[in-house]
Amino acid sequence: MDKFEADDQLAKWQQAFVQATPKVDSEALIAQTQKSRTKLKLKGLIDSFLGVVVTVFCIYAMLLEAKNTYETIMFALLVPIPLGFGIWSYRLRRKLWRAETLDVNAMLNFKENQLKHQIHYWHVSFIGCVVLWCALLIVALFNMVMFKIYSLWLIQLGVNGIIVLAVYVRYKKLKAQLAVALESIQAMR
Amino acid sequence: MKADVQINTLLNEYAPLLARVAATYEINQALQDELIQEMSLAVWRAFESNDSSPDVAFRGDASIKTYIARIAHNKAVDHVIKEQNRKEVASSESIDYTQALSTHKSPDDNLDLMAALRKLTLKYRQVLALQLEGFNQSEIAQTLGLSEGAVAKRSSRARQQLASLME
Repeated sequence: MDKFEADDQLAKWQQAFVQATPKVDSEALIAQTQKSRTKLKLKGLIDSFLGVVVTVFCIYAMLLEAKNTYETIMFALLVPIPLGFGIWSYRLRRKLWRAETLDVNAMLNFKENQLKHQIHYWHVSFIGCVVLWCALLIVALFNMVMFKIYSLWLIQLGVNGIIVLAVYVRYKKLKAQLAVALESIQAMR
Repeated sequence: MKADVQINTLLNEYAPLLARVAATYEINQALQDELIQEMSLAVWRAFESNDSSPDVAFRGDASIKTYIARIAHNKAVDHVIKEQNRKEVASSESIDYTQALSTHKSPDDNLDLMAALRKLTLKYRQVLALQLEGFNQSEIAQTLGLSEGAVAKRSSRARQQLASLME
């Protein structure tokens, strides 16, 4: 096939391609997009507002409600967490949105890294949960032995044990799916 | 407000492009509409996050059309990944993302082209769809993050496969 025939073929295909454009109601699409955008912005504002409210509450509790140094320190440690989490999740969202504007290959690299980081995140979360549960176990045993309080601490151990188990199951599931997920991304290159 | 009007104008102008990209990745109408919606939102976010107006933001960079095509294809690939993760059973209506080629014919030439395009593997489909949109090799390379040589190779293979499907 010479170049002229090939170009002629491409021109015919281009014409057919344009004619095959699915019907799209632009006005409705724009209206729906505006709605989604407003919803997202509102959600972001509510998240930020709640973060600020919790932070302010922690500061209030630290200054006015804490009965001793231990409680003051505990509330002080809690203060930066809601705001910090809010800032972290906002930056993560912006990173994800920026990835949408990369070239397709770079976006696929980003997705691959995201999957690997996700496994790492859940692995670290699982270890963290196990450490915290062990600390809770020590505190629970102390209270059970010293003060004979059983049911409260057993419930605490049970509920938090379920959380540890859930995190473990999530981590194992994602790990098992990782190879297939990476393969499917690789197949798109 | 001015930025909003500009984004509205862009979406109005490029809605058909978004629809065509969605149609090359997804046959299910409802999922197609959802995908077009996601593409529009991504385009809006991308332009809104630029401090300057869209045409200034693209000075020295890809054209607006290339930028929008890039976003559209990224959202479409994201859609494919999500659908594969959902492990939906491929019905007769859904896209088979594997390499199966079909010689199914239809009296309507336009349907033949779209249906045939969907039969191509993703990497060939992307290159050819962009070529059919009127992008040149350099623009396709920029959109997909490939070398121009790789684009030329894929384009050649894609056209051969499409031609045999359309016979």
